[in-house]
Amino acid sequence: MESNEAGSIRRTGIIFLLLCILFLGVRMSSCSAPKTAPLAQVVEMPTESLQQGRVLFNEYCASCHPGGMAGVGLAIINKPLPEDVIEFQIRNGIGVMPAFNDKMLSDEEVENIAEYLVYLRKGKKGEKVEH
Amino acid sequence: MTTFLVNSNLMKGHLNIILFLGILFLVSGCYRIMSSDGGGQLSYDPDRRNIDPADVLLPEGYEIEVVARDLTFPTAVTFDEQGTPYVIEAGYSYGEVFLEPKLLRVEPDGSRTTIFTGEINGPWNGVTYYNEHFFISEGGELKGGKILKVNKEGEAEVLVDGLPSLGDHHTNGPVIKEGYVYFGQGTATNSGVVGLDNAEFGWLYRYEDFHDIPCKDILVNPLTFETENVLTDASDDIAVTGPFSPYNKTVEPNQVIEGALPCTGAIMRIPVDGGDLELVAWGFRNPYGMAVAPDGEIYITQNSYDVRGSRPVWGTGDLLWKLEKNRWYGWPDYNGSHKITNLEVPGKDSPAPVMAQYPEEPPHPVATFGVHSSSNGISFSTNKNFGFNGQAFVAQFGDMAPGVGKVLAPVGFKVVRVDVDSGIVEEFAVNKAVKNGPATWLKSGGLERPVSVSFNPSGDALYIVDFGIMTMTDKGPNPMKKSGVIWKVTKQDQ
Ligand code: HEC
Repeated sequence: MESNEAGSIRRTGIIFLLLCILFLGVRMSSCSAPKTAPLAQVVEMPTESLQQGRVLFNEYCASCHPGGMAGVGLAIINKPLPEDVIEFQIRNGIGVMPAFNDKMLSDEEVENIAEYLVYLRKGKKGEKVEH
Repeated sequence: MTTFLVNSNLMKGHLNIILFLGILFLVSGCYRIMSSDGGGQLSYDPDRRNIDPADVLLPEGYEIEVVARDLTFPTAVTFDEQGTPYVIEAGYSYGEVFLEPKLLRVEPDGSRTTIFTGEINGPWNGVTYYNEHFFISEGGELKGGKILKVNKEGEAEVLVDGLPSLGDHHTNGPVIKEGYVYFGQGTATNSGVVGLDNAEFGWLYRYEDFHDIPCKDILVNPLTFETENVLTDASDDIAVTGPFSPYNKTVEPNQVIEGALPCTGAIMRIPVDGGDLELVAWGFRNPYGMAVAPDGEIYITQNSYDVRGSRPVWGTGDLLWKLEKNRWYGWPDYNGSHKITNLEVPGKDSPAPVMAQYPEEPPHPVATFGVHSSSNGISFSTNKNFGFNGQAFVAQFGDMAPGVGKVLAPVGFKVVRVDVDSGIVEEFAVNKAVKNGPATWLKSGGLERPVSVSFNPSGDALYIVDFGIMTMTDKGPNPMKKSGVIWKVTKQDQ
């Protein structure tokens, strides 16, 4: 029992480390998303939550992650960061990034930013607005 | 580790977060050792500029062409009644290059005719044409800033001089509204304290007493900043400097620094035919670009703080402001609505507040741009056929890392457009490449350092003034003469 648990710990540890290294590779890999032409017309997001996420991202995040890519901060839309990881990072500001508490952004706002970033990562850009 | 196993079910649910923490544990401290990779940090010495419009990526349906090339430090274009473009060459660039500034008419073949040559007191940062005259903001790095009024025969009049432009930032703008010339005046320093960064710029050796001047009386905290004293030869001599003070001078507790006019970090105005100088708004850092929107409001781009000098500030995006009369915009303790005194500089503390009392909470900015993007010239689309009617187009000169601070990838070097109602910023003209950066960094023939944009009077063409090559070396900025370009963007199916 004792040794089994130790072995299991070791295995979990190794898998964990391997996964970390894998993620680290993803994290460090530089912006390789192919650039698409800038939008030829004004677009809107298909849902209100995405539209709010887009506005909040521009106000709170884009200064350090312009267009979701690297600047003063790391690129965030060129790798498969899940929504809860993004939300965790916004609230806790791991590393040198400032944290955003609930006085600055509500839970719903944080979720909308994360949802918008995942949407962007999928290469989607919104829908054309008819004038 | 046991807890790790016991809570394995819970762990599954939070696997992502745990993994994330694990990664961060592995790379903790990593950000600090990652080196800067700014757009001016080249691994080679470009000996000339390549120009190829095919290397610029625009929205579908738009085209770009070269109007003029081989300009030396061009900063802005304006148009007369016939729509003929005129360009100014700044006559000064960071890197301490002093030349004669020039107002030039751009001929249809791209050649230039000189209308007026200024004295060596650049940089000329802006020009606007109104009622048969050119109004020019003379940066005044050597003798102080001025607003010049020049007619087509090249006869010049000085509307105002002696503006406090001898430091880091200069006299900017101008725009004309309701019979007044509105212009911006940048601050002397990064965040209120004269230090070694100003010696590196060069001006501290010319004007040892120069410092920031508030527009109204302010109560400051008696902060002190110690540096090596670069104004003496002794190697162990220390200079102690306070905010809003000359180098090596400090402030007393409860000291009120008297406001004055002209001041630094302000928007001021003067009647178009000359007259009294008036304060419009204050508390800006470097209010660089100005434009009158279709609804008559004035919008201003602001270059925000750098990570340099005695009071470095990290992570503050450039801003787009709407000008509101008599308001205070937050420098040197805020960026937009956010207090910079809450923002730690990686590896250091957060900056201590300079002001002991604030006149008010600063207004909310219209939009935020990339940190160090150097978001400069601005112009509004007013023609439905061009598209994006009512949006603000902004030229991003691009980062001057590592001098201004570290970036992990080039920031700026493009033209963006802003929906001023929502603050959403989208790219408009960028370089074709997987990565973002200036043409020299990408080894292409596209945009280098867009410094301003101007729609022509009919609004069917956007002119982009591209300052040219400026690399960042160990000795600071290294601008290249005769590498400036004017680009013109039109929509094909209009
Ligand atoms: C002041 C600059 C700044 C702002 C503002 C900022 N970030 Fe960051 N961000 C950083 C830096 C720097 C890092 C890298 C932190 C480290 O490794 O020490 C980072 C890291 C991240 C990461 C982790 C990336 C990875 O690959 O591990 C995510 C996700 C992220 N930021 C999202 C956001 C979101 C969403 C916002 C807006 C709510 C935001 N950031 C605002 C600077 C900033």
